[in-house]
Amino acid sequence: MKHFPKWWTIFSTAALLMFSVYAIADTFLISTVYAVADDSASQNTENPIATAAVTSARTDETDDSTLSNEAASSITLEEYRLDDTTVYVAAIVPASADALKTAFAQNAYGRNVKAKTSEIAASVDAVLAINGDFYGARESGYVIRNGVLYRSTMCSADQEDLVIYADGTFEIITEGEISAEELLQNGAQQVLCFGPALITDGEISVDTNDEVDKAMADNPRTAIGVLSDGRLVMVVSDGRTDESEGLSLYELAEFMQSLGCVTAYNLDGGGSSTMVYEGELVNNPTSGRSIKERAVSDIIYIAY
Amino acid sequence: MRRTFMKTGLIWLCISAFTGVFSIIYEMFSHGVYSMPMMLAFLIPLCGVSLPCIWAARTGRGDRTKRISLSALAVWKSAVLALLLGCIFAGVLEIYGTTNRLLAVYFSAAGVLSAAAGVWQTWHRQE
Repeated sequence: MKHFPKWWTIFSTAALLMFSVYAIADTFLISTVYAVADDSASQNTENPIATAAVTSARTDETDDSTLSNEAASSITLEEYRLDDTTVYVAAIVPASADALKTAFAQNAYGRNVKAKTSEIAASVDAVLAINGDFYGARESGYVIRNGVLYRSTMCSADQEDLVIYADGTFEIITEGEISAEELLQNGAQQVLCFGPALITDGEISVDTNDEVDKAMADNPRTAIGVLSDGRLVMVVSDGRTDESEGLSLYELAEFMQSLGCVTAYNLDGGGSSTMVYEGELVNNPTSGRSIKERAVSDIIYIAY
Repeated sequence: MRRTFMKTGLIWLCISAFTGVFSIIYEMFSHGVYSMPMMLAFLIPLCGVSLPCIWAARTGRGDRTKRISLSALAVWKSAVLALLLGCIFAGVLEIYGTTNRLLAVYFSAAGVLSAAAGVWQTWHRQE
């Protein structure tokens, strides 16, 4: 027993440090693929869940935000200067209701499965892409992509998600009020879990003190919104640099409202904020203290 | 015994100072995202081991340190270290904006180890 304290200290300290190394690696390095994305799933009539998603896709709704099938999607890029921040806006007239798609890094759903936005965009032949909700950084929160349910565990009852239906309509829901399975049955094609909602029914739904977790007020941001006529806007702001400070959530919400959005949603920001158009970076993503792209879990894109 | 306790107190004072400096530097590079577990982590070794050991070694007429089992103290220090690493890990996760189920292991280990240290010390005093 005399030497117990010494050996216990050595053993327990080594064990705790080794466990910490594993925990850090598990958080940031070890890739775990849970499913390979199947883009044809929503068209697969043998998949009962995906079939339900297609056939119940709000075909009864004929409001202004319902999209029509016309020619190819029209995309206009504009650059704004707002509150010492550079903001990039892609205004999109979608060619069809399903013009807006999402893609996973390495075409796989999993933890720490990551790639740069530009790399994912290239892999799916995207003409325009922004980063998504970085679902892989969390272990809960709904994940539905291209009509396939990948994760149905609730993040929290008041977590606001963006639901994009098969007819192109946007809706903000809270995870406590509806399950992921019910969303799929209702025709959800995409469910993005980050938030918060910026605009709901044309009104700003954040206040000046709202922030994402413990983030400071000014940050690079990514947001997506829909106008009353069905046009889409993807917005990315630079931040954390001398040239561009970044936006608070409220400033972003005000900007989305000024664009005419009836529904707008905040996506993963900070170092993740990236917009890619025709294979080229549009904004200046910050990674650490330098300007470079960060690898993310997923993107939202418009295909050629 | 007093010397052993003083040495332990000073070593953990250094651990506390290192944790404080580490937290400040980590927060400097976190783009203003802050984490309370990270910011207050330095208090865990300070209040959990350092100050009690220094207090036990320096004050009192009798030698308080003789009443304390060194084995129980070793297990207690492991509990404090588990809690400290858990808080730092929680801070890293918060600042990055992620979660990990393994975080619970630290707090469970700290709970079990502190209970074991308490039982050991009680048994030691009864002897």
